[in-house]
Formats: sequence, structure tokens, C-alpha cells
Amino acid sequence: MFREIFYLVAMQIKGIKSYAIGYVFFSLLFPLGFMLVFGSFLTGPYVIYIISGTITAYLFVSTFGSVANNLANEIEGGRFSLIIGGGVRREVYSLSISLSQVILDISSILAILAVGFLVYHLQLKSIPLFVIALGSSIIMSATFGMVLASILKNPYVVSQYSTVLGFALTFFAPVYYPLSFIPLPFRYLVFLEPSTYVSQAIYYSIEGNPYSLLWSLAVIALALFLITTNKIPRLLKVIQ
Amino acid sequence: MNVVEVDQIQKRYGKSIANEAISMTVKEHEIVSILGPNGAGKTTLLKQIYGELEPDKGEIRVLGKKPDNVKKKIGILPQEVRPFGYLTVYDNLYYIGRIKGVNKGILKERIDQLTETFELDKRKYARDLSGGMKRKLLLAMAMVNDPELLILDEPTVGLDPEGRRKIWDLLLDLKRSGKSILLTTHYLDEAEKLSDRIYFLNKKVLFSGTPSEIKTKFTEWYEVIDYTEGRVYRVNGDEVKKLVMSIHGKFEVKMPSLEEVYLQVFKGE
Repeated sequence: MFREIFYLVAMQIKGIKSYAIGYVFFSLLFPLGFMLVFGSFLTGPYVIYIISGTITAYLFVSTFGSVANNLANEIEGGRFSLIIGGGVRREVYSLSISLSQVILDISSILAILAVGFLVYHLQLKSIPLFVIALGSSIIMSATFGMVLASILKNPYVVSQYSTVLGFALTFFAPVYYPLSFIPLPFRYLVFLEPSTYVSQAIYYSIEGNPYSLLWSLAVIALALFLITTNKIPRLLKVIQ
Repeated sequence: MNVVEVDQIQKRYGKSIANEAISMTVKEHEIVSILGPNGAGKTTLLKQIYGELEPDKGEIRVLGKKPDNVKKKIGILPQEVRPFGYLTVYDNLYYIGRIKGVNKGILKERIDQLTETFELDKRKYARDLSGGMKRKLLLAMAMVNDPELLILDEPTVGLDPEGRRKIWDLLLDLKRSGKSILLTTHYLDEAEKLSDRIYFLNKKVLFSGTPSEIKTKFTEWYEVIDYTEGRVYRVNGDEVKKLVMSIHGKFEVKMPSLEEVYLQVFKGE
């Protein structure tokens, strides 16, 4: 199984050459420009939000969007059948698509952190909490992408919805500002958005606050909820 | 020995029946074709045989085992599939070979052999190939692990006549070298030329046999072409002699083609 995952991931990473310009722009240059421009408007403790927010946007939005789009395209292109017929389990192939996306995301996160350290003098107060927050968020984001592909099926529809959801979950959730900014009756609504959990877990981990663990736990619980509500098995049925 | 044994399988999609009580076999060194109209359940049947779908009822054995346990020993060409466009021809073959567990050294030789057979440029990106060349690449991918059994869903669709002929020759060579092949096709001439046995399918098996058995069973008439007069007659067997004697000049007596049988059978369905 590990050999299969290795070659499937390698195969997909190799495909990066086909969209190298887009990848370099959106994964490296865009976050740098975005952080430098918007970070200059913020002062004091709120600067951390531009860093944690951009990591959330890239980690969550980019991962779920890419996983959903890639999966839908693989199903539509019949390549899922080809690989499954080659003796690879469906879950392993889905996992490899998620994993290759995560590997690509790492460079974006490193670029964001580099700007944080060099320009905004970021202090990452707890690396273990940060790693836990990233790990749990990656799992949930990939799961969310798989669920989206399983529900919407058609790659054109998946592409539209992932773009709309990406913007909504980034700017209508407390990603670039504190949760406390949202008035109380509406605050409960943002708990329906997965990006809220991811952003809080990452923000508190940068701060070194153990509260981050609770949010990471919530992120994992959300991933488990998505899996157990029969959405992933739906993906497998879609492929059939 | 049977390399494929399908025993009374049934498959439904919701309320719609795709396959009903289907039993069939593919023997060693045999090419078997499945024919039927669109929506007859041919692709569903193949998907169950190569383990992408599970039957609701019945049992399937491939190379003596459950399909899930032999996936790496067989080669498949699904009906609607595109190769990995972002990879070169070489990489498409290399990665599918490695995923199927082919040894690196053997794989390189095999890729050289297959690209030569199918006249594929190893360095070309799959997305830059024409439709027919993409189909050839997919066929090469199905054969990269030197499978004992090939399952091909419409293997020559999109190929030009020359390309089709080459694939036919290749499949016949494979059969001679001891491989077994199960295929579906809408080209009746292809089925007639390649198949040792044919299954006519429309949800269930309507009938099966060798091409000549089927023709004999389903048609009692012969086609007599009078080239001098430029006329075509359809006459029963006992009238052929009489008609032929009355023709002054060149003539030809033919059994009906498989296409005639197909149209007759499915028109009456």
C-alpha cells in the first residue's frame, strides 16, 4: 500500500509542471503580496491575524478546493476507474490526492511564515501546538474536499461551488479578525463554518495558548463528523 | 480452464436492473466478445468482472479468485477514460506499471516494447496526443503488466481503419501467445473477426456461441449476389442451388453477416 501511495503522490506532484506558473503565483507570490499590503493596515496584536488568517485561507480553502476539484476531475476523466482497476483501493487513491495537495501547500505555509518572521517579527511560541493545529486542519480540509466532490459530483459544479465556498468561508468567518469581533447572536452562526475552527486553532497555536488544542480537537471532531455522516461512502458510490 | 466465471450475477442501480441472472465464461487462450445495444449492461458487467463494482447477487471468479484479489494480474481498458494528460507517454506507462507492481528493470523494457508496437512517442505529453493515439496509449497501459487476462471496453473506438486493423492483429497475436481477452464492441465486423465466442446481452444473456453457430442458429437464408444483373437475393437454403443455376455470369453466395443477425435479434426484442 505504501508503494502505491508513493507512486500515486509522485505522479500527481510531477503534474505540477503543467501549471507551474499558476502554482508559483497563487502559492508563493499572492500570499506574500496579500500579507504585505493588508498587514500594513494592522497594528499591535491584530497583525498575527493576517498571518494566521492567510495560513487558514491557504491550508483550508486551497486544500479543500483542490482535493474536491481533483477528485471530481479524476472521476469524470475515468482515471479513477483506471487506478481502481489497477488494484488500488478507492480510499488510498483519495488519500493520495489529498496528500499530494498537502505537500504542495507546505511551501505556501513556509512562505507565509517567512514573511511573518522577517516583516512582522512573528514569534511562533509553540511549535508542537502549531504542528498539531496544521495536521488536524489538513485532515479536516481534505475530508471536506472529498465530501464536496461526493455531493456535487460534476467537476464544473464542484469548481463553481468550491470557489464560492472558498470566499464565503474565508471572509464570512473570523479568519482575519478575532471571534470576539462578531456580535453575540451571530457568533453562534460562524460555528457552522469549518474555517472558524481552523483559524482559531492556528491563531492560538501561534500565540502558544493551549486553548489551541481544544480547537484542534474540534477540527478533528468535525472531520470525524463528516466521515461518519455517510458522505465519504457516498463518494465511493459516485465512483461506481 | 476458465479464466473468468460469472455465475448468476445480478446488478441494480436503484430500481433499474443492469444485469439479470448473467452466467458466462471466458476460457484460456480465448477472445470473447459481449455485444448489445446501448444501456444493455455491458459496461456494468465488465466493471464487476474487473472488480470496480460488486454484484448484488451471484459470484464472479477471475483466474480462480475473487476479482479484488487479481486486479494486478489483469489489464483493463475502461470505456470512458482519458490518460493522465499532464504526464508524458512514458510516465503514464511507468506509473501505472509501478502501481501494478512491475519491477523497474522489466518495466523499462516493457515500455520500450509497447511504445514501439503502438508507435507512441515516449516524450510526448498525453494531452497532446490525438484521440486515436490516446486510445492506443490506454491499451498500452492495460498491457504494461503483461496480464494473463485483458478486459477491454470498446478498445478500438475512435481509431481509424488502419489503427483498428493493427489492434485486431495485436489482439490475435496476444491470443496466440496464450492470453485471454474479454471485450465489448459496437463494431460487428470486429466481433466477427476476433471472437471465438460471442455473448448477446440485453440486461440478460440472450444467447451465446461462436460467430458461425450464431449465424446458423438465427438465420435460415443466404444472400446471393448476381453481379451480372447487379441484383441481391435473400433465399432459404434449399432454394440457393436453384437460384444459382439460373444465374448466367458471376455470382456470390454469402451467409448473413453478424450485423444482420444483431439487427434481427435486437429488433425483435
